[in-house]
Amino acid sequence: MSMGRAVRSFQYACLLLMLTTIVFGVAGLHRLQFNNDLLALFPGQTEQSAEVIANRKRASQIEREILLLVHTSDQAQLQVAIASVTARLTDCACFAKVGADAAGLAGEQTFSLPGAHPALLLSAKWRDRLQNLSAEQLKEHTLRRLLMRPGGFSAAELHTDPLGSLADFKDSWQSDLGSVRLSDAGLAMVDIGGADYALMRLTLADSPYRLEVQQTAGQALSQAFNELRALPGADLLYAGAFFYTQAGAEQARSEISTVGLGSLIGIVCLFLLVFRSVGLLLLAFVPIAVGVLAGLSVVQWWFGQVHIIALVFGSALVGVAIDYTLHFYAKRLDAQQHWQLGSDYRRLLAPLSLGLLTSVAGYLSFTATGFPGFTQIAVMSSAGLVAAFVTVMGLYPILLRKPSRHGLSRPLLNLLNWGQRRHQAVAELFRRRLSGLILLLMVVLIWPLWQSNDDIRQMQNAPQELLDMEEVFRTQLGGRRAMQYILLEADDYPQLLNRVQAVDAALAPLQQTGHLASFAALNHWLPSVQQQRANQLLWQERVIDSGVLESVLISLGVNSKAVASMMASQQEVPFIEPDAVLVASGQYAAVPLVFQRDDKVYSVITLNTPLDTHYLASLVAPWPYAQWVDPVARTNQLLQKYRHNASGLLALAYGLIGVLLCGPYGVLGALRVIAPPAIASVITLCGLLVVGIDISVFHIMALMLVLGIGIDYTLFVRESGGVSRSTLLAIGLSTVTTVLSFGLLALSGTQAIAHFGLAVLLGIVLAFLLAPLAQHK
Amino acid sequence: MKWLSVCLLCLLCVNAWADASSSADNGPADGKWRNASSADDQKHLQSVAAQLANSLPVHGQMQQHKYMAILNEPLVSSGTFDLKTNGDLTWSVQEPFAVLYRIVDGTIMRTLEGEQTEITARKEPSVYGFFQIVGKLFDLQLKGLESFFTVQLPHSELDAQWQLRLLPNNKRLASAIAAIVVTGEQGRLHNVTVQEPNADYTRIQFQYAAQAEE
Repeated sequence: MSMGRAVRSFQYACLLLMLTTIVFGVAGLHRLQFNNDLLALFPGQTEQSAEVIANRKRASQIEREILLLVHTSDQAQLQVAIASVTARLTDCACFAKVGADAAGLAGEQTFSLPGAHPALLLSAKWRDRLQNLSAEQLKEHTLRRLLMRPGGFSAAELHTDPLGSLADFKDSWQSDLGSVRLSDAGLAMVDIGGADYALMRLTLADSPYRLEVQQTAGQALSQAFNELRALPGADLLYAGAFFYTQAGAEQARSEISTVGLGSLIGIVCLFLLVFRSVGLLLLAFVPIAVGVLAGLSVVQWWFGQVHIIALVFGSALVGVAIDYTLHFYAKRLDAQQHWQLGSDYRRLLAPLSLGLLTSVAGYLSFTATGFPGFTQIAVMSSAGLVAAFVTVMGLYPILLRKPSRHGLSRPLLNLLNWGQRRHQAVAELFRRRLSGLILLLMVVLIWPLWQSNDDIRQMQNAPQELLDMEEVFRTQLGGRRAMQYILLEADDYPQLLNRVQAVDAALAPLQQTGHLASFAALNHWLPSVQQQRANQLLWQERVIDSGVLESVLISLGVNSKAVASMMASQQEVPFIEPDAVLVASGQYAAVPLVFQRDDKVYSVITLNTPLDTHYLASLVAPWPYAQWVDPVARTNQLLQKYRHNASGLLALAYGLIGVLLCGPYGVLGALRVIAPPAIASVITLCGLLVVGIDISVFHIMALMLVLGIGIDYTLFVRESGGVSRSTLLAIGLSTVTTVLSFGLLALSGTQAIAHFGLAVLLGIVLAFLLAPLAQHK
Repeated sequence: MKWLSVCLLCLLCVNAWADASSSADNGPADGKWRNASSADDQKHLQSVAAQLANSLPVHGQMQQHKYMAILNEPLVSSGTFDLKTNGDLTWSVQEPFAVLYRIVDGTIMRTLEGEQTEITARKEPSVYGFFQIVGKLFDLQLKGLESFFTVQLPHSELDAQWQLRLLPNNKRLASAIAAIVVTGEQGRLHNVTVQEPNADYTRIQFQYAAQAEE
């Protein structure tokens, strides 16, 4: 039972490291800062390119808006309920704005343009009209417009916009109202299939991706929805990014708790059945607890905060450290009275150390995917695994010095004996050259089926109910803004407006050819100074010099003093300088995005669907100052890049581990050790392709896990000189716990998570079955 | 987004109606009006509303006079109107330009030289707002009107006539309309006068056809 000095020193060092980790970890617990912004998981959050800024600003404009439509058979009760719900939601700090009447729905201030004058601001329609109508036709048109309106016109309107051209220009400042109208009670109403629905518009105070916003706004909305649904004959429709994030979070919570509970129950049952000791069960969780504590401390120290998702997934990966415990327990259980801590400890040390090294290398390769969230997961997992390892190697020799009171139960013994024979048989089957040829043939035949899928939408699983409601809002309120947009760059605002004007001129005809439904460009709010000058010349020629305006005023019977005053107001109209107006335009959500970065200024041209993306992208390409931005395609390209990178890293990891293992095992031995997870990975990929699943970055990540865990199996088989009973017990239990932990994710409703789980399930089971291949002949 | 602000604008831009008032175009002094807040006042208003509602359907002639300080003479337009019991309204302007407005189930359509156009709050807020209010005045939809106006009654009324004044209850509406004075007799609306914050005002007079009550 004596341990060598070196081994004892190692054990004490581990113990010391474990105690230090616990002391520092516990002391630092109060300093932990958690970040729950889901967007922080994705790359590019720290970049500040113009495209990133534009994406972020656009997202924050769109993602915070929530729209509700409420119908009831009792209009009087509807008014009361809307007032009550408005008050309730306004009380929640999670909402910045809540509106159900016209003023509330308007939300932000109406865009105001100091110095607006009809001579400067002409829509394309009015430029065309001024150029093509005769003076007499223009006068007739103006008089008819003024005199046929019930209620007539005001003196102020006649003074500021005599032809109605300015109102037409400002019309483009408004989004399409669709069928919205005011009810008797002043509520905004929409007619859907003959039924009246009251429209409410809410604006979240913060991003819907923030978990506290999801929680507080979710509670407030839930209460409000209950109140509205209690109305007689109630029908409630809602739309907004908030509901998608809420549904996604809810699904994730549900799946994590289902999988987590299933996994925990399975693992507890396994431990009690095999080791028959509650004490050992509790002790098994100590390395995991120390691992999580160490992982949290290192991530906090390294990154300054811990992402909540890194905590969840990192903890799951640290949970793989249960394998160290399983090997220790299995060895002790199998040895029974022959348990000799010194020699058995030494036998465990080499494969566990090599297993730790390879797992840490595997996890740290996650950092190369480029996802900041994965970097934290990798660091937390690696630090956690090291801490779990030192706990097992430092603490267990003290607590498990004595042999186990129980041996292997008879049924388990029989099962293991049967398993050993089957396991060897499977390995023998794969050792045959014919098997190699069949495997090769399978790869050659199946490889042409290779299809990759880098679509970000496989990470989404939007409920059909939400999509259906979204469609109602889309058709009724005209919310058809495309994800794609055009980003323009310039040295200053005047140049920016000129460039927007040039692109606008190219886009406008596309609305007739069907390439583009409609679009909003900055010059629809403020024309460039050159355009203002051209407008003024046209106005002067066709409205003032032609005598149209004066003739209209005289025909209306305007007195001479007022005519003189109005004609004077048409002289020497100063141009509107863009700088001040555009700097202030950021406060108006409806105005196309304008922003400054370093010494450049940028603006976005927003597009409405349907649109021909290929045509528009090629149209924009020749302009050096214009950029076609397709966020979905860009994200998909990013995922494709990560898939390529991860595939390369996987190959590199195999190579690196192979080189590392050449030392102790020689080239052939190293190949034997890495072959099982490699073959398991190839068969997994082939299996997925055969059933028609396209390969994504998530499958490659799963194969990294297969390498990290699978190599542990082969190392133990190699070190124990074959599949001994204790090794079979340990790696068998490890396979079951891994399948329970990760394989159950295959049941997820989200495609990406399900594919990850399926690949882990297949890969780990195959790696287990093929582990005896590592055995030295 | 500010697109829905137009819903309010539709009322803001019920432009340039001036209160010609029922008394020699000078408008009653504020001292002559009181808020219709007592139970008796509410009863009186409901009685007037019931009379108006019972008179439906109605049709006849209408004439609009627009008085503006900048004009030498008021602008005059005239035509016919036809209001059904279900609220559908036909408003036909014949002079100086012929144009037909039809409001069916809350949708406003304009026919001009054979071409039909839907009037929306966004496209033509002033026309949209005009019909929103006029439609409510013909049968005195108090609940709808009280959402935007404070309803007042005169301290004293002539025997057969009734009067009421509507004062905008929000600043944005008040920037376009100072007051609307409505006069009628029994189940008939006779005059609607709208006064702007300046001295300009609009008066619309209604004359009912003898055969209106079908």
